[in-house]
Amino acid sequence: MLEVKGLSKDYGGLRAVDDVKFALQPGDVFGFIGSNGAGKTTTIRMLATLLEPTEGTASLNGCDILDDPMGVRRQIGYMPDFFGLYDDVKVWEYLDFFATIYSVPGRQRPKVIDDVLELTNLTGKKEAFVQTLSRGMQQRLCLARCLVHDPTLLLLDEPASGLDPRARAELKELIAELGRMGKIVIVSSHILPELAGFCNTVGIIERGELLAFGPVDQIVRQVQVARILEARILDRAGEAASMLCGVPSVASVAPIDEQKLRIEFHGSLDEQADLLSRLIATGFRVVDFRELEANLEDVFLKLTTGAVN
Amino acid sequence: MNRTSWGQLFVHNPMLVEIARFRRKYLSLRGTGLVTTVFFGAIYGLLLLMVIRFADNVEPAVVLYAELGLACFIAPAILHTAIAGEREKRTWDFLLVAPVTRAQIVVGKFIAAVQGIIAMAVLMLLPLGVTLLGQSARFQRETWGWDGYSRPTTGLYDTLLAVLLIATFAIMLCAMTLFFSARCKRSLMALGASLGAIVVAFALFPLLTLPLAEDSFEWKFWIELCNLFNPFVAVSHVLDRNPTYYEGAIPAAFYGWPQIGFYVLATIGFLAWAIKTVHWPDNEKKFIGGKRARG
Ligand SMILES: Nc1ncnc2c1ncn2[C@@H]1O[C@H](COP(=O)(O)OP(=O)(O)O)[C@@H](O)[C@H]1O
Ligand SMILES: [Mg+2]
Repeated sequence: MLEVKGLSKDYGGLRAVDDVKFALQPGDVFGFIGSNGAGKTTTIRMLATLLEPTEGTASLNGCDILDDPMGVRRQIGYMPDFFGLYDDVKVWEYLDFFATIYSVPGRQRPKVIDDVLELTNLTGKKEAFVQTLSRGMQQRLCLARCLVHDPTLLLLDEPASGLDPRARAELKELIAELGRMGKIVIVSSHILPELAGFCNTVGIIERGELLAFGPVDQIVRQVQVARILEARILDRAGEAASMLCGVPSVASVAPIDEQKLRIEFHGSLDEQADLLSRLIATGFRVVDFRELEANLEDVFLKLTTGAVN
Repeated sequence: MNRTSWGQLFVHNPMLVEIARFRRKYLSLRGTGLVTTVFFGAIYGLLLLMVIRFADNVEPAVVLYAELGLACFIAPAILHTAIAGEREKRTWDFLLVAPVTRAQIVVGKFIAAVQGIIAMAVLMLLPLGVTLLGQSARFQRETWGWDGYSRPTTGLYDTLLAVLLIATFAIMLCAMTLFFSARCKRSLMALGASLGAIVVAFALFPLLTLPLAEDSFEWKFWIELCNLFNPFVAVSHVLDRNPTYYEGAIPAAFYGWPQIGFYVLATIGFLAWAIKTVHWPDNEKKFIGGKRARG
């Protein structure tokens, strides 16, 4: 398991990462969300043992990134946000080079290379030169390179940036598969919908601070200070609105059109049921009464504009 | 250096895989490899042809100076991109996050280049051998010929000593270029710095100072001392052990092994310095290293 214990990083006077703490278990696919400059890359590079933290540390299956970087390096696969590949080498030669560096025994290397090529759907490109691959394939080759030593933690920094929708979908599928294989996967992105589908855990970082961390649905609930209800009342919607305004757990009511009302509500589910009974008991003809599902995007926008804290 | 770390660097170093990559890069029929292979093949072929055609007129020194001259730009040419180029191409981080030490990375690249240098030295033995044979044929003809005069010939031992001197010098240049490549942000800067250092130290400086030694006797010793480790000067003394009259201030015996020793020490120095310099990942932020983690 990965434990991140209060990682911080200062660049001169700027605190790029501030006391980030979280823990992940094997099989977790962690979506690390934040706008540009939020500190995702810095955090990931510290976990990859490339940057020295100003404070704090992290440990992966008992290896500390400061005390035993070699132990950590043996267990991680790191894919930077920008990377290059060697020219004039074939795909299998490229993988063979890194398999050697990771001390994969010579006899196992051909099989390992075939396996990662198959996993990343590059088997047909084994003999191709790396510079002839498309951007999406290069991305997958880089991921294949991360996998030659069967790492327990994958650090993928904005892996989907610059990919077309199709390549992006393939990459998502691949990342989900890695999670099913029992690896810890950290995927960063500044685009939310990219992560929403296949992450089981998310963290939202803003100005270096981890504002929220946990399972996707929990985060959505935790962050929703006020839930948004939508009611459709056939007539006298205006009257209903003034009545609702008088209810203590209703923060505000705004008409959407002649019939629909948007209710900002921070009561419990019980209170929500009472609200509906009251509307009906008062004689309003309610045809629709539901909670609008907040998604990660709302949560993100809310958190990063400072609506929380 | 204890035995385990020696083995870690030179025997069980996964980065020795660089040897194969270097060979593919510079000695193959694809991409850059095609250019370098054809280029050096052509130079070597020409040298060989010339030596065979004019066997009894070409001194071994000609081959040795050619080798020395080639080494002066082969080393910078193949190594200036070794580290700076990886940073530029953003492939450097992949090596830094791998379970290899900085020393292993640098030594792996160094050994890959040294293999090239050794290959060159071995290839050069062929034209060198031809000149030695031609020389002994000429010596016999001139000694037993009508005028009884013969030009001095170069002994086998001295020739091999010169070969060794040139090889260690070339290896030192590899270590130096690697050091500049670790230091410089851009590979072109590393190339410029290496070539510049070589031209200034081993061509411009001697060309400017050595003529002064002829004129002023007081300065002679100091000027020769300053050029003591110039391989061109050293090779000329090694090849001409018993000149008819010797006017140097520094005895001819000081040329040969002392330079070889100096080049070996300088190699170790440059390598150690290069290893210390490899602190920065792609984006030049200091990464974990130094006292806390010997990474
Ligand atoms: N080498 C550096 N020197 C100074 N500041 C830096 C450096 N690298 C990143 N930063 C700053 O640290 C903050 C976090 O950057 P980064 O981790 O790259 O963000 P993200 O990956 O989330 O876009 C930004 O404000 C950035 O300007
Ligand atoms: Mg980033």
